Amino acid sequence: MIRRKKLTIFTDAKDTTTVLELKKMIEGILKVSPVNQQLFKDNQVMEDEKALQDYGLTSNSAKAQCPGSVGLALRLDNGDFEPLELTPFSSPPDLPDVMKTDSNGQEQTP
Amino acid sequence: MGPGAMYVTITSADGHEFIIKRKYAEASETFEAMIGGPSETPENEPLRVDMKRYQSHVLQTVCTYLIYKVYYTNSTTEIPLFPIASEMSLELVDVANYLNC
Repeated sequence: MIRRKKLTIFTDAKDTTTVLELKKMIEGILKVSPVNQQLFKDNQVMEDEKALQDYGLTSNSAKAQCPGSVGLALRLDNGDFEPLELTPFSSPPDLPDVMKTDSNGQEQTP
Repeated sequence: MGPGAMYVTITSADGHEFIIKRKYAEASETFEAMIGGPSETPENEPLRVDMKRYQSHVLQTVCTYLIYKVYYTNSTTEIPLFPIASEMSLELVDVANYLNC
């Protein structure tokens, strides 16, 4: 997932996909040039020539049902990059007491 | 390459936007009907789907699930369980019913 404020983009990428290639995918979606994008893994700026696996984003750690997350900041009109800001998602309601159980029940939706 | 936009933007009740590839959104019959066939949309015109009846935490799980479903459909590898928090199960049953997937 690539996240910026209230936007979340789901893309496919390989372990060997470079940061620059990821920025080009974002360019295709948001129409922003890679030079005006900054990608972050946790709070670390990601370098264009490095691959996603160099930042711990591999097919073992980032799976379809549990995607990895990368932050995006765009360049402002004054030339500086905006601060990295990720608006948190909403929270689910508290579980009703009758549903609370110690067992590890998992529901699968077909 | 066929006509039509490649990505779909899904909007949530709390203003979050989720962008996923069209092919994953179409794993839901409801999304497929909302998006329409490829020939109906001019290329490069962004596709938007209004899901403002649902909160962002639900839609984030929906997007992740659609990708998981497409990824593992017809897969020969062992398919891992899709993790679902108990607190979300009621909302997920509701949206799964709505999206028919």
